[in-house]
Amino acid sequence: MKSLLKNDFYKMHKEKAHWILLIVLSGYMLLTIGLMALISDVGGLGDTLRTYVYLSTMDSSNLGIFIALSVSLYIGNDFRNRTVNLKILAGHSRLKIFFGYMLISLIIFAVFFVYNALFCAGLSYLFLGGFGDYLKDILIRMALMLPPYLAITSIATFISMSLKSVLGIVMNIVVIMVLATLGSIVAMLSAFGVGSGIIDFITAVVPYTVLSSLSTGGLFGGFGGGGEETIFTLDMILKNVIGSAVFIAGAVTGGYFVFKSRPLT
Amino acid sequence: MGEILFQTHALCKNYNGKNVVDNVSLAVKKGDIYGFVGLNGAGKTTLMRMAAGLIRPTAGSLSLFGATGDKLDEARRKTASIIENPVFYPSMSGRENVAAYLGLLGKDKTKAAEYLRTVRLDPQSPKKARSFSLGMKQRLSIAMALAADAELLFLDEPTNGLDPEGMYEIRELLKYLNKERGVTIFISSHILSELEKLATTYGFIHYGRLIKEATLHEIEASMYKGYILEATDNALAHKIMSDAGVASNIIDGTLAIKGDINVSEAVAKLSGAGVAVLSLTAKHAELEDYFRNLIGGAQ
Repeated sequence: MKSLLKNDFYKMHKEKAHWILLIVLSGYMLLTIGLMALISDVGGLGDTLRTYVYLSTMDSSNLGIFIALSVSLYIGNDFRNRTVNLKILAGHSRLKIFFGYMLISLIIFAVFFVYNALFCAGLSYLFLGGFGDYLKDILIRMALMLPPYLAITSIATFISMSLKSVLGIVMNIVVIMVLATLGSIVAMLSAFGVGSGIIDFITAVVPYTVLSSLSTGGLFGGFGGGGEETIFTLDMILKNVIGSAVFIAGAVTGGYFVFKSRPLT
Repeated sequence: MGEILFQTHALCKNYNGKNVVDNVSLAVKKGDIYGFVGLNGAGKTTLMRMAAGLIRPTAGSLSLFGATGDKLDEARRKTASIIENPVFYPSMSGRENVAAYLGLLGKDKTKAAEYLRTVRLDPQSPKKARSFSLGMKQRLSIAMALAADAELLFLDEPTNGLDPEGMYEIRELLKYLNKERGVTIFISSHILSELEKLATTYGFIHYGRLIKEATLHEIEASMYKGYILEATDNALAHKIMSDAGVASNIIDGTLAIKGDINVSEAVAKLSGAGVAVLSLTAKHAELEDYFRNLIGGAQ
């Protein structure tokens, strides 16, 4: 397993595409924060809006696309170039190879998530000023983003392994765009209080909508701060964690059976 | 009988209700260069993909170095395969490719240069593998196979698309690996003229079925022989041969003699009749003829 992961790291650092994605992500963040700074006079944004701008870069339709792209590029290229065969020929079992993909995907997620959070926070402080009373709120929301992001990463890995080609990139983008858009609509409905029971449930459970809600304030009673406490109820947190866990379990189990049973390229 | 490194028993692979590999039982012994012969679509690649673990058999079994079932993954570490096209990391140089594969095998990466030199690739070249010529890509794949210290090599059409010089280079490299390093080779090709310069044992597959397995010696013994004779009077020579019970025909101004003959006796008989022999060339049937006869019989 160690040799498999070392090989994957070696291969990844040789593939320019991942580095290019990080650069593009940086450019995207610069553009978002820079534009906000330009149109609002430096530091002129209210704390709530600054928090919103910052958290919006953590949404699945933004950061999620970069993670899904990197995961599907990595796995898709391994199938497209048939270098996955080398792993089999080197005597690694399909189970090990599968978990290797899962681990690498998680590492890709961790790198993009941490890089995005830190780089964007740096830019926000530099151009927009601090988050004031909202810092604690942001940190809690980011912690709550981890389970849905792990689920999204697992789903992206599943899609990439099922399609076994760079077609996975296209499919991942389509899935993220469609679900993130639906997530935004549902989160918005929930935020404006027009949601029904089922919408509230979807908002709290489906990873894409959870992320939209966390970044737009649609979940947990909107942004607190300014003396108001954001309500992070145990019920909502459990729904988030359990919902994500179900998606992760589905993606891992489905992915393994697809990878195990189907012929390699 | 030598140690058997690769063996299949009633191996089958079924796609959409059709057996692409049908009940194949074969054995490859240590030190062999096993030529796997068949028409396009006969099932050669499918069988090799099963051996390499890329697809699973529908029925039957295979063993590598005596290992079967769950032990096959471990046994595969002693094999290397180049199936259809060479596999490599396109964004890496030759040296990086071999180093990456060594890493995958959990071996010392510093030996990468040595393996590249063996296949006459420059280890210092920064050129990415995607820019290599087909011959270089084949050699890179073989270097990676060497890195695995492979005792058994599966090669599917390794000379496909190569120019004559490239074919020669690969052939010599394979001979070297077999003779000097003791690597057993299982090689498929439909370029039979190339294969017959290499292989010591043959398996013939047709429509998924193994129709014959034989050593080079057995094949040579059973192959058609003949002579092409050019004489001052071919018509008379033909009559003399026919009278002596030797089958012959006049084709394109020469006398084609079928079967084996005692050459000195034949020349003496012709000279005695006043027919001077201008040239006499022994002609052996080629592997292609043997294969065509086989599949003719199988059809």
